Amino acid sequence: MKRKLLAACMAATFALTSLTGCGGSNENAQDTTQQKTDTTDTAETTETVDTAEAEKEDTGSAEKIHLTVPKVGYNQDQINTANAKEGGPTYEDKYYMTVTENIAKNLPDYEMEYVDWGWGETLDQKQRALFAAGSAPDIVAGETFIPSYAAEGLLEPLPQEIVDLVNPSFLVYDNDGKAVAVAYKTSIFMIFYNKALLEQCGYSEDDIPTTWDEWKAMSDDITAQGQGEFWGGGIPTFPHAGGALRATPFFRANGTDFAVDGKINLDDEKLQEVLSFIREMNYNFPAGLGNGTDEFPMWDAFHEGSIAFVVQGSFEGADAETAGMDWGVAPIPMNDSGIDGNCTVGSVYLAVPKDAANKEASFNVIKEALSLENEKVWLEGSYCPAIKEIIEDPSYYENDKVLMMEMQVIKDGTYSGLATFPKNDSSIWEIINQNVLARTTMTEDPIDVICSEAQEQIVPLQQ
Amino acid sequence: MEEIKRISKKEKTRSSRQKRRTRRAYKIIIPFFAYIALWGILPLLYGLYLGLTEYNGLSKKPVFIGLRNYIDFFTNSAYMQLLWRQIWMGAICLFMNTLLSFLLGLALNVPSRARGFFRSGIYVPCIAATSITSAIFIVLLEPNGVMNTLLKRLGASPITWQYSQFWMVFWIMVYFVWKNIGPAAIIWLGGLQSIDASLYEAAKMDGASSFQRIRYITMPGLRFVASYIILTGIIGAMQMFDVVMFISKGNPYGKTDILMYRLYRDGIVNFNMGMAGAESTIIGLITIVFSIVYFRIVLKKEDQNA
Repeated sequence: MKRKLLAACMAATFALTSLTGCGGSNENAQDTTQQKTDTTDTAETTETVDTAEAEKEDTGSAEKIHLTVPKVGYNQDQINTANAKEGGPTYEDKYYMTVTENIAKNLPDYEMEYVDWGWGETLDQKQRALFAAGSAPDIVAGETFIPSYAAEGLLEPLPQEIVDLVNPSFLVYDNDGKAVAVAYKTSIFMIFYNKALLEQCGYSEDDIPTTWDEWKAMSDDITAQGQGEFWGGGIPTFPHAGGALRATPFFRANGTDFAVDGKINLDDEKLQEVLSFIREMNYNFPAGLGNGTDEFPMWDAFHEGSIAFVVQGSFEGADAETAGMDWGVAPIPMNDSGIDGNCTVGSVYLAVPKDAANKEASFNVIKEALSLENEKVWLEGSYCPAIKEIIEDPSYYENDKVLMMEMQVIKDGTYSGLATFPKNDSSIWEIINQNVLARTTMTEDPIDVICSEAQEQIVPLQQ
Repeated sequence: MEEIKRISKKEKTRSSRQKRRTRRAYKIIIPFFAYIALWGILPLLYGLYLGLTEYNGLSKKPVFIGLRNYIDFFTNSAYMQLLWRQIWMGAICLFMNTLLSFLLGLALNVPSRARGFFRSGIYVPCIAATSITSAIFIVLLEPNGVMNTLLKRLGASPITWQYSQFWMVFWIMVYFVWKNIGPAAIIWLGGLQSIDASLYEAAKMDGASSFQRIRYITMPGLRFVASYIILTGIIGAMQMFDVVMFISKGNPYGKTDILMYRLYRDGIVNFNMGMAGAESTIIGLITIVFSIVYFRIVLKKEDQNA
């Protein structure tokens, strides 16, 4: 009897505790939802959401179209973080905050969920998991892996209105040649130089190299004068995409690339010539700097004045300015072929999955992200915005020497990101980055041996 | 008759009580079985299935391709190199960790006032986050990092550690031992303290030297502890990948790349899920074989001693 009584008391206590716990959880859950979901009615995005207003939004959100989107706008947590930064929000923060405000204002029927799924591999993993689960987000974002999504036929073709709005270098096409993804910003590679270091070595801005031979001669001379204290600089071969991106303009300038029609091209003599040039230029870096796993020591060395030249995207202008150095910029030197090769970097592509629930609404959000008011913000960071209206009107960027040069290059030609392989793309790039590019500068192994060994590893991955 | 009925009733009661107990026991263990099935057995079976398919995480369904991933694995010299490197690099790390942790355990067993401090101190690397400690390690090894600055001050030439397979394997081993020595040393210490002290006193009175006391009392007394440390060490060495990922990323140009790190990249970086499934099955089977062989050796020795 006593045991039964005890059991009944315990059951009652347990039930009571559980119910109390449930009540508490609900309240917490509600709070979290309010924090994480940023509805478009929140015009004053930088201010804390008032509880009464939030309740009003909740009532209205039932009729709204809910969209889950990465890399388009900021949720309240991200806005708070950006505002708390020392020196205020960066140009990148400003873009996302402006887009958030404008979507709230111009697309009031949409309930936006701005998710922070990271960037690079992390974002790719999250999006692939959602594709596999059959619950793709309304918009997918990314850089190097977006061509893989396109090749797999997962993306909805862009409306002609968006295609007409942007420069062709900002588009990604599927296997049928239809534009399926658009970047709202990008950058291309240039050479940045340390003016003070050049002057110290007896060079002026008139001497800035325009050909490979001139660059090598100048860089060799600076390295010789530096006697281990400073170096001329060359082409980085970091054993990851950072190396491949910076080397690609030189391969393209020699009329070649790692992939031809999706097939690996390491036995191409033109490609091997460029690898020899990269190896020779690498002697103008201190050992381990041009091919280290971590890129940052190189940019630090440039900012601190121990490297004369670096190959970097246009965003280096803003970084060099922040570092307070006396710097200059020039187009990538050309070789005898006279081909103006380059490669886009720092692009953020947006696309709508074929399985997305609200395709029209998603494209409207992309259009908003590409609006003139939003796109202008990228000019602050010396990034090239996608829309023709800005690219073709120099009055938007006439005071920025980097952008003047970059926009001219973008206007003159059509560029793309790294080459893609239809199958095992990442695995193949890993072999190229580590066993071709890094090995070229870390060892004295014959270039043809390096290439043939890597080719042997890659061919089975393409079958 | 009454007596028989009474006994029969008692037996029935006992039997039904036994059944109730059994049911209750099942009720208690079923959630745990369900948990293990959900998070252990189902993923294992799915991994085995993926090994027989081609799947990049983007197509709707994995495509069944039979044993092609396994054939590719055993016919591709790159994969065989990675497997071999996993074994020899793991063996070096295991050997050094076992040896040094044993010596450390012996040192910690020496009575001293500072013993408690050192016992806690050696455990700290184990609880520190790998991502943070390895980042510090990398900074030390940068071309102009602390290690090269030290070498320069000593009048030696700086070394570009990242260019050399030998040096990167060396630093991976140093980091592995630094990180894992604490728990192993504490287990050795527990074993050492479980040995009857009177055996040492008796041996001492019989004139046994320190080395002889270690050889004939300590080592046989630690047989089971050693079995545990080596067996878990074999499993740990065959699963080793985070150290390589954080310290060398498989560089220089893939010379420190190992199969577990490749498995991780094939799976969730390159999304070659089929090959990752096949690799995990292969490495799992090899680990089981190594463990069984080791266990057999230990049991055989036990039988001989008996």
